[in-house]
Amino acid sequence: MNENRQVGPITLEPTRTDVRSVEKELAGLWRKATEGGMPGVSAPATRVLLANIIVYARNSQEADRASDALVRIAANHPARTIIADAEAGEPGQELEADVSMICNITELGRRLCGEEVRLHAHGQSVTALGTILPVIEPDLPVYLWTPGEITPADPVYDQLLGIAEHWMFDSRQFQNLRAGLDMVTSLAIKREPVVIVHDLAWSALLPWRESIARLFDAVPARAYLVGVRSVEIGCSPGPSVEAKLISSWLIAQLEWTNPAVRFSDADSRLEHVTIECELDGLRGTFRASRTEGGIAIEADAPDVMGARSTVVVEADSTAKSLGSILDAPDREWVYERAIAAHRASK
Amino acid sequence: MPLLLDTNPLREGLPTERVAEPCAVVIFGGTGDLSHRKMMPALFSLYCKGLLPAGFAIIGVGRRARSEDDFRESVRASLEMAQVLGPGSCAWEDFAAAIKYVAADHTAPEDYQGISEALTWADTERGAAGNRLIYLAIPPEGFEAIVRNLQTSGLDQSDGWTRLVVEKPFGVDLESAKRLNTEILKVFREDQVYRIDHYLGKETVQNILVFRFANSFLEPIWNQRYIDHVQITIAETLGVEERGDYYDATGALRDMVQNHALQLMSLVAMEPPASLDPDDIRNEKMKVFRNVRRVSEDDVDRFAVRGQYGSGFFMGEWAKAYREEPKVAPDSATETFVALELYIDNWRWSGVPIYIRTGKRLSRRMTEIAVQFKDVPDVLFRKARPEQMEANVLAIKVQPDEGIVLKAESKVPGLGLRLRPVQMDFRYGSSFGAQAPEAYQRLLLDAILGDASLFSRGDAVEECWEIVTPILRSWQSRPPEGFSNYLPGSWGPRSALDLIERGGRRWRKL
Repeated sequence: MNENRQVGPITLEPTRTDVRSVEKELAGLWRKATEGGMPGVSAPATRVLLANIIVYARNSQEADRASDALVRIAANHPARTIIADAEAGEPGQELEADVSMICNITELGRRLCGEEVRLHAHGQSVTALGTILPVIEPDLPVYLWTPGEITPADPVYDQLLGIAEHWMFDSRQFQNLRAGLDMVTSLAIKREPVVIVHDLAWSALLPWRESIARLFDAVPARAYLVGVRSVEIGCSPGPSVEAKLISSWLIAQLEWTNPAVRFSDADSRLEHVTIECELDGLRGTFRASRTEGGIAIEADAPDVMGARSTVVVEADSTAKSLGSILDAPDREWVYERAIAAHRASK
Repeated sequence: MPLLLDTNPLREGLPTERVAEPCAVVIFGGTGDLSHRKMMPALFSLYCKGLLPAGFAIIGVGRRARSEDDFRESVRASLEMAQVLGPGSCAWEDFAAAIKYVAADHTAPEDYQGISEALTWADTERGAAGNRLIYLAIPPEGFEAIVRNLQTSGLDQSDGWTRLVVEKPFGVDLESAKRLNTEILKVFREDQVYRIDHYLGKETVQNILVFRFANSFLEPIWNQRYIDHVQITIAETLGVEERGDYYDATGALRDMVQNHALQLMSLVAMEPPASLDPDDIRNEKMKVFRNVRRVSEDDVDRFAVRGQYGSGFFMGEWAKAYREEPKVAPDSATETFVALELYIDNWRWSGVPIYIRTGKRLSRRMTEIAVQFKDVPDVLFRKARPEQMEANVLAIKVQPDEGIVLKAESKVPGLGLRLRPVQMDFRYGSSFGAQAPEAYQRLLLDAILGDASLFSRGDAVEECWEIVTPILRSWQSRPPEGFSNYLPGSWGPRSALDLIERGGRRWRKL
């Protein structure tokens, strides 16, 4: 509650410009913001850019959704966002940019402003390096975000990953999870130098991973991990990407060579994870299950105290997952191991 | 490779890699101001962030008989007051189920039976596994009795770990601090004792070490060759409020300098520790304290200034003089302002004055450490800047608006050559989205985790008392002249200006 510090984003009306004039337009917007160009806002303005975020959107709907999510995290993660909308405009239309500033008022009365550059054109010119590179703010990390499905034949990924240090995607958007993760591995993880990958689906699973890990924090409970017999994951018919990621994570982290994972149908995407263990002939059941507003954990095993607790889960959203990733952008070795386990599974 | 279970493999890569073990937090002074204003909100926030283990319990100990429901309600009210409980926060019911209240006179050994029963409840019903964090949130007069009674009743021992958290002030002078250390160490080992200084839990204070030792550009210039002096300011706008009786027996030197100011100084001045192990850090801080030049009682007036606020208009309202405050003696000689000039006699800091000023009813609430670098030779820009150029200053702002500001000279845009100082400003609130956690959250969690890095060691506390003792003695032996000697809303008495101006320097305008 205390961390909800912004009043709400204020966006200066976008200005359409020739792509060569982006910096000049931004400088003009910045002057306008500091000279009181935002009606009703008198707080002093501070330009803060922590990263470049390049969005490769396949169509305008994706671009709009990405823009909306980035505006929502702008208070805590002010950045220069460059949205390349690959299908905007009419055939033959020249490359143009909409340039705007997004400002948030902090509780200390300061106005923190980031920037959005939205590139429009029809065809490849919008994602060409010669278009993107000149509008990148120098000396800041570059994140590539592909909010939709990734297409193996599209050369743009390889091109844009050449200038990015991080790649954010959502494996829930992949039509074929295994093929998508194969592509992520070959394009980014095995690249030299490596591009750090961040999966929004993985980020959204954090409360589940935290809850399941919590079941085994106490030493007596931890001992049961050597005797995991089976895992049941209640999920929507399919099973869902989340269920597969959780399963792969458990297999990788427990170095489980003969996994017995069962996916059972449930009403929501991921309803429960139940781990059955046996230790020296004693059986234990460890369960994390979705409740209203959280994930409840419960252990039923000899020598393990039955104290229950609930991990509060805020509503999942793209903006929240993006925020978590930008808060902790380090390489996610555990995720990489989990997807390797998934790719290796039959 | 066989599965190693000395750690939880499922924790790897999660934001909370350090997980607290199940434990019972016993709060002596459970109904008091500190408990309700700071500790309970901190514990609840930790609980909501999932940083407290499933098997945790809170046992509030207070003198008054009251029902458990009544105590829980008072905790709930505190959480609402602190704005940590409300719509969107985590569930109160689960947290409330972990709370128990014991009415006990901490001086009466027989009353510890109730605490013992509550701890048994914590172990058997909550799964606290015999781990105990005993927090002394009471005035210091009670510390020794509690420690003694814990031993008498066998509560210093358990199947798990037992840690003792001691609030400041740790003693009122060197002798009392030594005595208290001795009494505590008769019952607990040093590694079980956590002497809290909440300043060390502040994010910017922790950032001092990171800023100094994780950046290569500072270390070569962080010494007497390049640094002219250091100013540490801890300023408060408030008077003594309801704490007149405590403050009148304490004063600014004991209340702020002996602990907070010297701790801040040690972080600025210490050598890089061998590792981040708590004792490596505390050993380096200890070396700084040892090297602080002792002021002889005869010399105190050269290096120390005291003041006491008078009455006057402050922020549009009439503010009482200190001597008119409730529970303060009308002829009180207690200082509400202190300014010091200290020296650290080691290779790095030889000859660099460390100025400390702290006080109540000062112009603004502000804590900062300012490192002022030496002047550049006045040769190149004499025409462009006829007056003396301002020295570079690196200011570490601890509160409010935490951050780091570097003041540097710059060319004024234009055809001519004119110079003007500019500020390069890094603010936590701008560069990092999430707000820093409250100091008590960090310190409580560290104590539960057994990480003593941010707590004072017994020898360091005694060393800090040794630094201020000659000043205390000198002031006690001579009644102050001209108290009250500064107006509310000012920056202290005239003598504080004299102290720094003697060396050709000035206090920063804050």
